[in-house]
Amino acid sequence: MVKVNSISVGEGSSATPAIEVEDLTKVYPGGTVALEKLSFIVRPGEIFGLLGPNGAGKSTAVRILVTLLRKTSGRAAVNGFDTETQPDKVRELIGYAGQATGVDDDLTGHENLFLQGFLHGFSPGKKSLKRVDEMLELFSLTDVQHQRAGRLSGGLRRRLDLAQALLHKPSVLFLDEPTTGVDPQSRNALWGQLRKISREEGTTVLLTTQYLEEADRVCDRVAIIDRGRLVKLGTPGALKEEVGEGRLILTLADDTLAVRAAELLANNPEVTRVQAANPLQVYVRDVNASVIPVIDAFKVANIQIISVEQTKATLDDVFLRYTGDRPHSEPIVVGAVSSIFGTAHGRKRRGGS
Amino acid sequence: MVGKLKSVGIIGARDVIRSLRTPMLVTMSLVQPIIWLVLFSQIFRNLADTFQFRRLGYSSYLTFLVPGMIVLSMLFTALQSGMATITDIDTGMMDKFLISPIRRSGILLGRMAADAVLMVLQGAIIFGVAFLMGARTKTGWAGAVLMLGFAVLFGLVWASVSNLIALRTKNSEMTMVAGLLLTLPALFLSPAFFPKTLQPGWLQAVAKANPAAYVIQTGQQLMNFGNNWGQDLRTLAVIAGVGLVLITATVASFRASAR
Repeated sequence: MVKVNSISVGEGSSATPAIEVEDLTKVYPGGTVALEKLSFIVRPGEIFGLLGPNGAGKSTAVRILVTLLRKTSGRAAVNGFDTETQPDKVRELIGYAGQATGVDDDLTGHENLFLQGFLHGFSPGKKSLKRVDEMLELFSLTDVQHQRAGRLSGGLRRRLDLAQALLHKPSVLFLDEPTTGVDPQSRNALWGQLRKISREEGTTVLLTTQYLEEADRVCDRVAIIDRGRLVKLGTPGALKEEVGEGRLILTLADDTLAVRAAELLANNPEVTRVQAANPLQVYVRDVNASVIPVIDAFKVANIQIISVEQTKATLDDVFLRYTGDRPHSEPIVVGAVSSIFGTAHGRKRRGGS
Repeated sequence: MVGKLKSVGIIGARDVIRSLRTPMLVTMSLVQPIIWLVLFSQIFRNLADTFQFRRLGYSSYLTFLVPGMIVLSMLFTALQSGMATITDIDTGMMDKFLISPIRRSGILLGRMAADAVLMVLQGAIIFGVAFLMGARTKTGWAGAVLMLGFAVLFGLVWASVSNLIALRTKNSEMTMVAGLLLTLPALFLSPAFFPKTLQPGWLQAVAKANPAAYVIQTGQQLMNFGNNWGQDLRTLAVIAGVGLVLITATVASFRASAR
C-alpha cells in the first residue's frame, strides 16, 4: 500500500501553517517594489514551490522569511512565529540554502557540516558525528568529505550546501534556486533526495525555481509570482491540466490553412489551446501521445505539414496563459536588495553572468 | 539560542582555522615587518651612533624599531579582518551565520577573537626574531608581554576600523585600499622609524592625534628604558577611548546591515 503522504492538515484543521505570508509587501529604498501584497500558506510537511522569472520577488520573499531582510508591511510567519517580532524563534526552526552556496572553501565538507551543526546547537559527540555521516551518505559526499570544499565542483558544493541546510533537521527548509549550476542528472538526484528526506523527517520545504518542470517534479503545490504579485496558486497537476504539458509546433505548407487547421484541433480532447498562425502552436496534455493523432488528423483533412517540433511547457507558456503576457524580468536596480549582505550577492551575480 | 560564549567560540575557532589554512595571508602579515626589521636595523644601525640618537638613550636602533614592527604586523592582520568579512558576505557564509540561532554579537566578536589569537602569535614571532637578532627588553618578560598586550589591543581597534569600512563599502578592493591608506600614515606619523623628539614640531603635533603613536612609543619605553605607569595608563586610555567609538560604530553598522 502506498502511504498517504500529506497528513490531512487541509480544511478545518486548526494546525498552524508552517509558513504564512499575508499581504506581504517589500519596497526597497529607492522605491523598487519587490513584493506587492503577496499571500500564501504552506502546510506542515508540504513541498511548496515559488515559481517565477528573474526579478519576480522570489528571493525577496525567502529572505524575509528566513529573517535576512525586513518587510515593509504585511505578515510573514514560520510555524506561527512572526519573522519581524520573533526572529530568534524562527531561526531555531529553519534551514536555508541561498543562491550563493554558503560553503566555506577553506574547510573540508566534513568540517563545513560540523560548523553548521554547531551554529544550530549541536554539541561535539557521537550523536553529531552520526548525523553528519548520515548527511554525507545521503548526498553521496562520503568520498570527498575530507577534501577542501573549494576544490569541489559546483554540483558537489550545491549538494554540500543542501546537506548543511538539512543537517539540524529543520522544521521548515528554504531553498532559493537550489539547482542553479547543477547538471540535469544531479538535479534529478537532488530532487529525489529532497523528497525522501522531506517525507522521512516531515520537513516542510519552500523552494524557488524558474523552471516549471522542476516545480512539477518535486512540489505538492506551486505559487506563480510575477513582479511581486501572485499570479496563480495550485497543484502542478492542475496547472498542467490547464496549460497543457507541452506544445507541438507544426509548420504548415500553406499559410492560409492555419485557421482551418486550428479549428480542426479545437475539439480534440488532448488539445488545450491552439494558436492559429503558421507555425501552428498546439498546446497538448501529453506531448508524446498526441503527435501521431494530430498528424493523422491533418492527413485526413489533407493539410500538408512540413515539420513538427515538440516542446515541454515552460514558464513562458504558463504566463501566457494566466497573464496573457510573457514574464517580466524586472530591471534590477543597483543596490535594490537593501541589506548590505543581499547587495553584495546581487552585485556578484550580475557581474558573474 | 546558542549561548553567547559558545557563539563567539564557534565563529572564532572557524576564523582561526580558516586563516591558518591560508598560510600565505598569515605569512604576508609577518614577512613585511620582519623584512623591515632586518633591513632597517642594518641600514640605520649607524644612526644609533649619531650624537642626536645616542643622546636619547636607546639601547640600539633594533630595540628602538621592534615595537613599531610589532604594531605594523597587527595592522596588516587587522586589514585582513574586514576582507574576511567581505568574503563571508560574498560566499553566503554570512547568511548562514545570520539565519542560525547564534548570537548576532558572536559573529563580530568571534571574528575579533580570532584576530586576537593571530595577532598574539604574530607578535610573539616578531619578538622572537628580534630576540634572535639580539634585541633585549629592559623591563624583562613582563614588559614584553605588556608591550604585546598594548599592540594586540590596538590591533583589535584597527580590525574594527577594517570591518567598519567593509560593512560600509561592501567592497573588498575598497576595504583594502582604504585600510592601507589609513595604515601607512598611522605608521609614518609616529615614532616607529624615527625618534619623536627628532621629528619636526608639526609632525609631533600630528602624532598626538595618532593612537598608533602612543602604542609604539610606550613599546619603545618598555624595551629601552623601563616601565612608566603614567604612560601605560595614558596609552590604555587612548586605546579604550578610540576603541569604544570605533567598535560601537562597527557594531551599529553590522546591526544595520544584518537586517
